[in-house]
Amino acid sequence: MKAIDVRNINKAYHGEAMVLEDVSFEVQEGEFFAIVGPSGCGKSTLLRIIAGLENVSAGTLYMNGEDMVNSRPNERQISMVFQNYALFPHMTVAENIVFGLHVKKISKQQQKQRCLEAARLLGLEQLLDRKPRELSGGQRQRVALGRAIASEAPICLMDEPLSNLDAKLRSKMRAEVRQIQRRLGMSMIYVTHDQVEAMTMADRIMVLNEGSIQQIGRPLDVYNYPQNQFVATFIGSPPMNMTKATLNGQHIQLTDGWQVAASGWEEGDVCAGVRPEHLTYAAEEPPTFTAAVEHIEILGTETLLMFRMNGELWIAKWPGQWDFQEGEEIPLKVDEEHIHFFQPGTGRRIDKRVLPADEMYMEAAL
Amino acid sequence: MTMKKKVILYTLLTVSAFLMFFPILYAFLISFMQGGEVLKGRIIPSDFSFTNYSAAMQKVPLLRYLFNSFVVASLIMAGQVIFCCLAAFSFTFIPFKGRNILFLIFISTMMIPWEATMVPNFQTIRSLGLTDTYFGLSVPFFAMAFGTFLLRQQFKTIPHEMYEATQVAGVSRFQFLWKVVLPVSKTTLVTLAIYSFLTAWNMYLWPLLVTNDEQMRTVQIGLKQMQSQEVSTEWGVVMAGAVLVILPTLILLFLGQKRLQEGLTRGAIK
Repeated sequence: MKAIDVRNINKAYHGEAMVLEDVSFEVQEGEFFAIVGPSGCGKSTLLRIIAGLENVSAGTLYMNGEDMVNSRPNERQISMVFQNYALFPHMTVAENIVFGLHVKKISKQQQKQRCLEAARLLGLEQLLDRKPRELSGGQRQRVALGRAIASEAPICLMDEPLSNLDAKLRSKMRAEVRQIQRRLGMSMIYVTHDQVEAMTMADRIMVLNEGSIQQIGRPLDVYNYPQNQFVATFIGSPPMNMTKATLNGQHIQLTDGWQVAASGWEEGDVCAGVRPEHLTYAAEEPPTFTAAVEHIEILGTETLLMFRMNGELWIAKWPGQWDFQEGEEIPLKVDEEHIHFFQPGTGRRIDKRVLPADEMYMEAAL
Repeated sequence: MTMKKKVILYTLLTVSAFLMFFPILYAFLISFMQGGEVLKGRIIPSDFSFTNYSAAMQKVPLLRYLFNSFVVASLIMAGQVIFCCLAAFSFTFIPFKGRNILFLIFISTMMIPWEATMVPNFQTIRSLGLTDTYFGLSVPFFAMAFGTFLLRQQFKTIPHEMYEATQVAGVSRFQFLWKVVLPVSKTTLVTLAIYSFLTAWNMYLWPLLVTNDEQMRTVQIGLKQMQSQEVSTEWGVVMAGAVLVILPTLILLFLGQKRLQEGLTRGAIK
């Protein structure tokens, strides 16, 4: 069953430029759905529209099968976790967790029980009498999560909840949030600018840019089959390397001495992209091309090699530790199947391979 | 800080504190002096008897005046805190068309001197038949631009997400105000309450206008009455009256100061 069904939503502030343009997607029950995009792409606005904190300019919104586009936030059966947690500084952790439950006519006894359950789930039992200011960032985050859990709403909305935590804690909380969502079976919409969070946590992700949907799909599908140039460069770190390639008879010429067959090719010049990990070291076999190392970063488990490709900075990511001098020529190898092609004007993907259907995979995943 | 610096600093502080406080201290001392002693220019009274105080009580119904002032100042304090809270809340959390313009107009009333509005206010109160009542003394002061401004600035520091969190939870606006905004803004509320109480306590012109009945006069008028009756002969009695009048405000200030400091330090240490 669809928990949330967003259809053709448009949003503009004061009749000015569109913030969201014709956004349609659906979220299944129990699904972890991440919305990812650069800052200012409209992802928070979209979440606030779903929460009912913001009006739509046009479009409809169904939640659990009911038209909810004009209803108030509390009628939508949602809980929400904010970026700054929105904890009440004068209340204890326990009071913060059960905040708002009295409005729903839930008895004191039950409130207490829910509070204890949430606290046990999050490891907050020892901290229930503290005030938020006596907690660390991660603990505050957990309290905010506890409030969402205690409300027992079937839909949970999260707006960049981990962005105020340090890197180590963030990866820990990533796993925790994911586990809790699975255990409680809530439908989750999770907004983030961090593509790592989106990739690692979500069942499906939606990439948003400048108010319009770029791609919706399972994380790996989005990674392996980016539908346009924006998705290709946004998802993945370091980003996909891009260069212009020219059509030369039956071949596409990427750079001097590197061409790939293009039989039956209808497009003219294209953009070609290769992920950094697909630029491998050509040890034995003849290299696809060679390049002079411009800069090298050795990270311990992997090495980033930077070089110029038709004037663009390209990065190759090799596992292990490699030591090259700057200016040294390195032989590189790329499998043809790992080259992505995009239309230069629209940025749309050119692909003979068919992308696996979303729906089938979705049902299998659930 | 070296010892020498400390000594110099504390000496300077003590001297300036003494200078600042001297008028009040002198008034306090005079309140124990007999008529002649003041004119002789003495600083320390010959004996500390309360004859001046009992005289002050007899000359004018000072206790009644103190009571009146207390009632009026408390009413104004409560009224201002309530009305300013509600106004500031809607200026901060409830979006409506023309909110900013309305707020600007509201704030700009601070530039109109109170005296300019006195005549219309007086006519209103008189036609409502509220002269010589506590309401007539206090109601015109309930809505105050300054208090609204002060509280709005405080409310604006409350993250908007808190309001949204209450909306998602289904908590009403009033409960949000009562359970979240007010407790979080306690310090500012205390400041506003003390400020409005003291201002109301020191009011002179308005009570003079709207009260004719002896029973309804406030302390500041009582003091003036006393002064005009005595005319420089019985300074001791006048000062005794003055000390009685400033005593409640001093107590309030001391009590409030403690709470203010509490609130300030609580906010400062994260």
